[in-house]
Amino acid sequence: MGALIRVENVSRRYGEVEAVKRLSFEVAGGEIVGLLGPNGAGKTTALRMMATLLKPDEGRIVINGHDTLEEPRAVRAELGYQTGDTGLYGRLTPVEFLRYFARLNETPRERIEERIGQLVAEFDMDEFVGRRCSELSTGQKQRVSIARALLNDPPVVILDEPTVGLDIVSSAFVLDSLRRGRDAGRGILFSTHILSEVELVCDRVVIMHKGEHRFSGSLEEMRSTTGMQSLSKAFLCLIGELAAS
Amino acid sequence: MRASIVKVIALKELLESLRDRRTLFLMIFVPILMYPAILILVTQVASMQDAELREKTSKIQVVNGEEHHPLVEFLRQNGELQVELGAAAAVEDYDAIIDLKSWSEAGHPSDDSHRIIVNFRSVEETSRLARDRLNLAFQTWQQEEVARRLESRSLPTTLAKPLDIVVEDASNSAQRGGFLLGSILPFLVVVTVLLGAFYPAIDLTAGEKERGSIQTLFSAPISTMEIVGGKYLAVLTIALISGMANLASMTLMLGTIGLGKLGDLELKLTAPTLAALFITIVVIAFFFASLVLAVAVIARDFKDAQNLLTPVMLLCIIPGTIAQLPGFVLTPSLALIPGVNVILLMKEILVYGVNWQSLFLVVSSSFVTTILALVVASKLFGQEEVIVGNRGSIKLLARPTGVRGQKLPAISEALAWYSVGFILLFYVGTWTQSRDLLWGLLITLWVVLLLPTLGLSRFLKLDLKETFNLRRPSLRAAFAALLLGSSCWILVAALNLWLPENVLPMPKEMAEEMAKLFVEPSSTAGWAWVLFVMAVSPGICEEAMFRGFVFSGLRRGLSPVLLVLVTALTFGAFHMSIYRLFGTTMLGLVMGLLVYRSGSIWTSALFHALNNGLALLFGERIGEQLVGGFPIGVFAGAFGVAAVGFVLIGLEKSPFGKSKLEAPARVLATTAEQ
Repeated sequence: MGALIRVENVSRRYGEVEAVKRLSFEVAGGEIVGLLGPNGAGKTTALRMMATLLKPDEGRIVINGHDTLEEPRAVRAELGYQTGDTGLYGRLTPVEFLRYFARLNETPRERIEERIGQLVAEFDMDEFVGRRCSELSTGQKQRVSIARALLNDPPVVILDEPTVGLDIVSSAFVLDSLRRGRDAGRGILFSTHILSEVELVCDRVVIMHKGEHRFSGSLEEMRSTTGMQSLSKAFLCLIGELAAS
Repeated sequence: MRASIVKVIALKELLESLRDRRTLFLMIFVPILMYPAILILVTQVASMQDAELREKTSKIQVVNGEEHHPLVEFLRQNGELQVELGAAAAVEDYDAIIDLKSWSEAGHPSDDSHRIIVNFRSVEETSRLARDRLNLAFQTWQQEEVARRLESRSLPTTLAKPLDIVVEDASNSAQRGGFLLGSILPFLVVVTVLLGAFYPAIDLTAGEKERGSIQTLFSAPISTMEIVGGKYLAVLTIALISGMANLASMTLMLGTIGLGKLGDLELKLTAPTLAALFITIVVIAFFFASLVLAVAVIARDFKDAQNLLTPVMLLCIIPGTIAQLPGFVLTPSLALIPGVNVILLMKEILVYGVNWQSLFLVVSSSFVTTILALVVASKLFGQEEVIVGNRGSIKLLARPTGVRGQKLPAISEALAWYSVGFILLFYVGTWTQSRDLLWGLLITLWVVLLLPTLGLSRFLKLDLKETFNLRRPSLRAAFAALLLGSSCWILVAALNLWLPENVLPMPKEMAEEMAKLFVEPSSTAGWAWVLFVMAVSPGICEEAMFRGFVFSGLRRGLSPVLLVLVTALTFGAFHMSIYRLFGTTMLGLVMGLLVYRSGSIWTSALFHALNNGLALLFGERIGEQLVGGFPIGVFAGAFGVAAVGFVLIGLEKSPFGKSKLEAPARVLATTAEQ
């Protein structure tokens, strides 16, 4: 399957600080790619550029054939993006929240309730679907948020640290939903700090450090390149914090 | 911009706002209950205090007087005064002290003027009342004494009263009541509408950032203008509800609860006054909602927004307070100052009733400032800094919208330039034209309109040929423009004469002023100069702005019908007269149709120049014929020629297509429209 996300030599500055430097990688349909990097590596900036929230200073990003600068609206229609925050509206219920975004996506009226019903079932939201979002637990909020990202059945899904602050059960639930997305042929990119999660779901990883691209490849390639069996050590080695064996 | 998306956003924002107790409190409780309650309470307490004060007798001490002094005896007969004789006491012990020393020393010569010294304390209500009561008593005593003195000399009393003054108020009781209401109601409405807009504007913008949902919203396939449009509609609705609730509550209070009379004043809101007040509340809500939204969007969080908006509130309230002062009336210059204009209009309506030209000026100027504020809000809200949750900056407004390959102006740019042009035309254009009509008009058209339009297009790096529709027209389109330009002016002239007579009578003074403006030239050279200024120049400059820049900007978001209609309305409103609005809008419709069908601005330029030129040359003659009786032959001929022109232009195939210009043209998807 062809690349659904294509990042080509992308750079972005904030004043004097170069947050992302000539970053390039691709994500194909039917694969989950983990975007790894320590704090300040430029992961969130890179994801925001893919979601058209920020513009690259150089290079280009193409999402399912649409350039983020030239066709931002078309890109957004092809993309399920979840920010670092859950981004819910506290005074709406999960159903009202999902209905709102379905209408913004111009989902046909007769399809909206059916799709929300599917997502409520898929994300096991029955018990809290009528409560206001402000009253939900962190895990429940995260489920609603991911359901929102998948609302218009997008071919590309980008999630910014979707398991932060979640307990093991909720994390497992989120990871499971990513696997289902991959099985449905979506191209999924998610940023995380948690290497055990990467090992559980990722087909490939992209490692960033200080705005630069450091590595792209499968977990096996990561181990073989560094000569480390432990993923943590391999990661440290790739960002230059540990010498290769 | 999709209306359906704007509606979805507005409804969601309203739902959320209505679930928020603070918004409900400010929207419903404050205007319906609190303000009227405060007004009733203040009126009642003030009237009770006044009554209580007037029931008290004033304690007066007379020093250097005696029991049988004529003045003391006279004052003792006054039931409102309690007079005591004595040596000088502390002034605090009495409401007033009268010193009769000078009088007592002089004895009682019958024709002298006697000095009385009255001590009182101006800072005390009771002492001021004592002074007023004494003044009244002295005046009565004086009148009686003068009459006695004249009578003792057998002189008529009129000798000391050369003028018999009778002052009558020509204002009726309702007008005086309106004047009183005009000094309270506008300010109250402004504060209510502002308060109504204040909290939701913060909640919907800075609140959205604080709660972290703004990026989620911006990741949806919608544009910044749609987001701002939806949020604006929600804020506007809440501000309107607040203003209307306040007006309803006041009406109820004045009409039903029996507070409609204050002394001999009639505090009555009649149906036409209520309708006009309704319009002014809508206008003020339109503007304030856009203003608070434009400021709130750049705030980092709730607290930051409150810090930014508080000075804005003060800036709105202070001019409002000044406008309330006696002597401030609505003039054309003040009609363009947002906020102040509406307060002055309300005052005018409450006292004199509706003046349609004032209403039109205030509504149209508020409309353009609202558009400007919304365009600013939209540009600010679309900034990356705002989207990622930081504070926005007005400096970034100067950043050209132009992204890769932008050819046409964005809708926001077209509307913003129209709004700025409107304000420039009013201040610079009116000033230059008042000094010299022809030179002023020439400067207005070429320097105020055309040059900045071209400069802005260069700055935005637009494709000038595309933006100004500089295509060569087909022969058929050019002929259609020729036919329409030679005939439509007769139809519009008839309309311009019929409307003031039958629908909207123009005030006599205004008609006389307008007649004075244009003096018919006496030479051929004079006519050439007039035609260049008043026919050729508008055909170039106004067309470049309206059927060029504004038309091309609006083309990106409006369907063809709306495109022609909105361009015509902006053109009509630009002439700043409600009496000319209909005629100029009609001409605007024809010119919009010509450009839409032919794709060429030259057709509308030809039409415009012909229309103005022929109206100048033969307008008066047609006017005379129309006044003398309807010249059916001329009218039918003009109608026939125009009909052929419409058919010919209808046969043209528009190069713009049938639907609004959307994203497919990749080059046109800019961040301004995001």
